[in-house]
Amino acid sequence: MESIQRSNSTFSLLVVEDDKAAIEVILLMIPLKFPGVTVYAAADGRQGVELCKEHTPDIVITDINMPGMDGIHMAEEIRAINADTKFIILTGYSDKISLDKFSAIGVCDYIVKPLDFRTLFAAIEKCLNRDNGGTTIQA
Amino acid sequence: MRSHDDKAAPVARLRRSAEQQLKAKAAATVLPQTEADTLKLLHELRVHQIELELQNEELRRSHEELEASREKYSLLYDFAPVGYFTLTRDGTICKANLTGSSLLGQERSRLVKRRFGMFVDDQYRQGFAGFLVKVFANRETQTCELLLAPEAGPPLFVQIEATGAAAGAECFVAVINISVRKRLEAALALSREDLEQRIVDRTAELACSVGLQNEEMAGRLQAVEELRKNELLLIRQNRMAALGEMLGYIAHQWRQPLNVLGLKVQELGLSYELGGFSKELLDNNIARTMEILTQLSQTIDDFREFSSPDKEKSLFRVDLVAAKTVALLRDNFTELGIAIEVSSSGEPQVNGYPNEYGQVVLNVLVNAKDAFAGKQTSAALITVRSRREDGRAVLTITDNAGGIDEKIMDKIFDPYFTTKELGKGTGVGLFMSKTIIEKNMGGRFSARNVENGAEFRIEV
Repeated sequence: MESIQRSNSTFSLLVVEDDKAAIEVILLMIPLKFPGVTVYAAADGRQGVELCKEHTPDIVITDINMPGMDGIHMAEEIRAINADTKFIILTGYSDKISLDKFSAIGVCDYIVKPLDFRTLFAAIEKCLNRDNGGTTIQA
Repeated sequence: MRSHDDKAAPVARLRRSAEQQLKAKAAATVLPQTEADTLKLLHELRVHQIELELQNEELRRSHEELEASREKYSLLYDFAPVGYFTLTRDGTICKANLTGSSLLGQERSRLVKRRFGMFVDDQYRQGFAGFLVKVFANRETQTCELLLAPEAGPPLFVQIEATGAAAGAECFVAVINISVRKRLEAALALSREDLEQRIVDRTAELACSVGLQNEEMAGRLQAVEELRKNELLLIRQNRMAALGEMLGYIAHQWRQPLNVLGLKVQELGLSYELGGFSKELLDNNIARTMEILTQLSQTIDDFREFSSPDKEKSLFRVDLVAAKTVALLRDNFTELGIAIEVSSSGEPQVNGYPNEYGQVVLNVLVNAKDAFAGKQTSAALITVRSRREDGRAVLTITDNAGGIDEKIMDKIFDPYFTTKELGKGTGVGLFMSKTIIEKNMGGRFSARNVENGAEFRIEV
């Protein structure tokens, strides 16, 4: 296994995922990799929008299929609040159709479940690099 | 009637004969001697004369009576409805009445001395000769039927009765025209023959039509057989569709736990490398991983149980089958924002095929789910209720997706009828469900619209 290094950048991140077990692990792992991060968690789209209004996170990692407001509607609303928000979409194989709708909104990356942390970390890095003009701050 | 001359002649003859007899007796006659004797003789003569005259009158009257009676019998004889003949031993006609002569088509005067046999049809002549022999040999009346060939007119069928006269030289023959009877008999025989022919024809016709019916029946049986085959095909199609649907749900259900499994495993690696690894974390993740693996394994068992066809009827709880089916779908439905409420009372039981029953419940639930697609239903809800009703198990599945268009209500159970877009529905789900419930389990499967939605009712 390749070694994974900590990333030092300071940014805020929102994870929207209705699977409690999954969000628990994600919330633990992301700060391990990115110690400077502030992470918020929402269980559905509606909650996600509220947290965005409050904290305007740099990156939103979201599932597509969720009860209540789904990922697409949420992304549209968040875009309206903050046009700079980067989106990383966690998707299942069966959500292909929804991806087209996301493309219209403009997203940073798609990650197909089951989630591989290396891929997720890379996606976050990519978003941060764009933000910082291509430099990745590493420890 | 006799002429007057005929009457006068015998009287004159009588007078002559009497005078001759008197002349012969004259010699012996003693003339009267005295006036007294003469007077006495004269008195005697006068009395005698009156006696004679009385006798004569008596005779004349009885003669007239005889004459009248003869006249009467002669009329009876001549105009009898039967022909009468008197024949000699060789068949020569001695006497014939008028009816007889008209039967032979010849005047009476020309019949006498002719052979009766000459008026008999050639075919019967021999028989008639034999008949005559029998008549003279026997005292009893003999009867025969034969065909007369009169000299004028058509041939006649007659019945002949003959008796020999006491003297033995002649016989009396009565001839009855039975042509009409014969004709009727012939007509009867003909119509009987016709009837028999018709019976034969009709029997043949019936046999033929029975054959046709058998053929038709065979055709129908074949059609039924084909239908059954098609039905089996449909059942299989529906099963495949249901399994496909199930597989979709399983794939979906697995994605989440697989994701968590992956995360839990990666967590161990990441925390070992980046910090935070502990015995506690290891134990927790192993326990959670095993829990998820068991859960996934259970899903396979559920699916297998659901998808294996029932081989024999068994007693099963309708509410439990419904609950199991709902459990398979619930996560997926919840994700789509569709809530499922399940309630039951009275532990309704059915003797039937539980997996097929489950297939029906699945069909209806999936239909309800699809009915919500593209509709803005604020609180999508499917209610599954089961209960006992008059010894039967009743399960209703109700949604609030707006109901079924009344225009297509009577078509929804038709095979290949679907409102779903091309490739989305096979159109056999409800048809199959009806077949399963009504044909395989003797129940009833129906649908109706209720407030805001549709209700499907399964009653077994």
